Amino acid sequence: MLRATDRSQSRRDTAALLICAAVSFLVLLAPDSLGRSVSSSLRDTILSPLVWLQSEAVEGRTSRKRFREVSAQRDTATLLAQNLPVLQAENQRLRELLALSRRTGFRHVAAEVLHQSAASDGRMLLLDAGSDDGVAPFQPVVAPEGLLGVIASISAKSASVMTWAHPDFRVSAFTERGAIFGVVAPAGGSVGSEALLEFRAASYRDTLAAGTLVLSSGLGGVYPKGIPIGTVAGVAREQEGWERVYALRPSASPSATAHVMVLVGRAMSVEEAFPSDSVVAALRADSLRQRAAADSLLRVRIADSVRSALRDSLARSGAGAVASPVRTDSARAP
Amino acid sequence: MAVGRDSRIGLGIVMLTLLVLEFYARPRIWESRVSPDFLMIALLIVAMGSRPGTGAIIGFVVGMVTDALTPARVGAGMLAHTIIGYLGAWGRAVFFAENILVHGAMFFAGVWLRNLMVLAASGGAGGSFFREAFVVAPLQGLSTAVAGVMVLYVVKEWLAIRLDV
Repeated sequence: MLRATDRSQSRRDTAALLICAAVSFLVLLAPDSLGRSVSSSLRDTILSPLVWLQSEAVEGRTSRKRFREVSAQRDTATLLAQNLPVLQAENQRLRELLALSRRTGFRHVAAEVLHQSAASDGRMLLLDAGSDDGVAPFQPVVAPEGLLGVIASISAKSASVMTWAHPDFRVSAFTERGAIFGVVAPAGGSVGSEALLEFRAASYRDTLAAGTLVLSSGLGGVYPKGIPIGTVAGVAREQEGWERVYALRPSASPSATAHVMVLVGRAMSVEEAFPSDSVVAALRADSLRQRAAADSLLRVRIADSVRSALRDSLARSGAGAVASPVRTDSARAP
Repeated sequence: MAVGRDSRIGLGIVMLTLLVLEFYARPRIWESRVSPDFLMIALLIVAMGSRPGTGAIIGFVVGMVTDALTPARVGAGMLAHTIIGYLGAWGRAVFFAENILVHGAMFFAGVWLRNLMVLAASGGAGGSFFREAFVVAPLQGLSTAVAGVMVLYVVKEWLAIRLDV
């Protein structure tokens, strides 16, 4: 039989468990925004030394490797820079010919990924850049390979990213040639150890070949147009003869990514960098008209110059020849 | 494992070392999904020397830390770590074996159960859930068990732990 103190201790243990579990449940059921703001506050205050420690560790681990990469890139860039003026001139000439504007560069913030040992690490990533660096919620996060996710919450020195593996992730997308539009979402299944995405809402009559690149469409205003999302791996399923869902192999892997770029600034000129197909068609038509006009003008000028050159040469060779445009040597009798 | 007054400083140093290992050494040396979870080792070491209620509270705090760092679903980590902390302390009282394999098994089971609960509570996509639950989580549990046993072996004098093989 338990003694009174043991019983009391046991009751206290059970009470502690129940209270902690109840609070956890309440937080779990609370709106996501509330939980994320609490997390951000914790990261900025009590946990800031741990975030700083991990940030230092990641920076230390990658600095040597990055130094080697940067050195190699600098050498390559030096070699390429020798041809740069020629290429720039050619690019400018071609752009003027097509009446295209200069491609706009995106403002971005580079950040390192602080991977955690938690099971949910692939879905949410922690970055070592926050609001102090200009990062804000709903800014797209890209890796060199393609789209990784979107900023979900921020604190002063860190930000959490909802990756494409998160069940709530969605992005409006279109195929490389702009023919088929749809929505990309994480897939329910996976192939082997590989997590996949799904390209949904593609109409049944449209077919996509394996290997087709799928890009962000720019619709919705969160993700700019033209960021690679993944390539078509095959048909995932078909629904009642009106929709075909394709499996996509993602371009960027959240768990393997160490460095990312956060595209900051809402005022960036996406349209200028990625003009829509109708704009491109209009520009091309305009360019072709200009070119045709230039060609006809050139033809007139060439004809004029040929005519004047002929007139000069005939005037030099004598007045009799003016009557006949035939060369004198060929008109000579045998 | 009795945590007496003399060994409290030792326990503090061990916890601090495990925090440094988790947030400095692990990202620097072996940053992988299956790398050892030193926070879980710290939680179970403390829980095994405490009452279940204390284990639950410490688990709740550790869960809050993990949720703040990867908020896939805030509250999932808190709930999972609370239960693991409670079960760790309770299991220690039930098994009562100062055996290296029992400790290793507790670390393994702790990580696996924690990952299962976090995945279930945060809502996972079907295929990736099974991969996480039956490939990644057991591997991480295994690496954590090995690291945990090594930590216990190193600090057994400080924490007054008797480890039988």
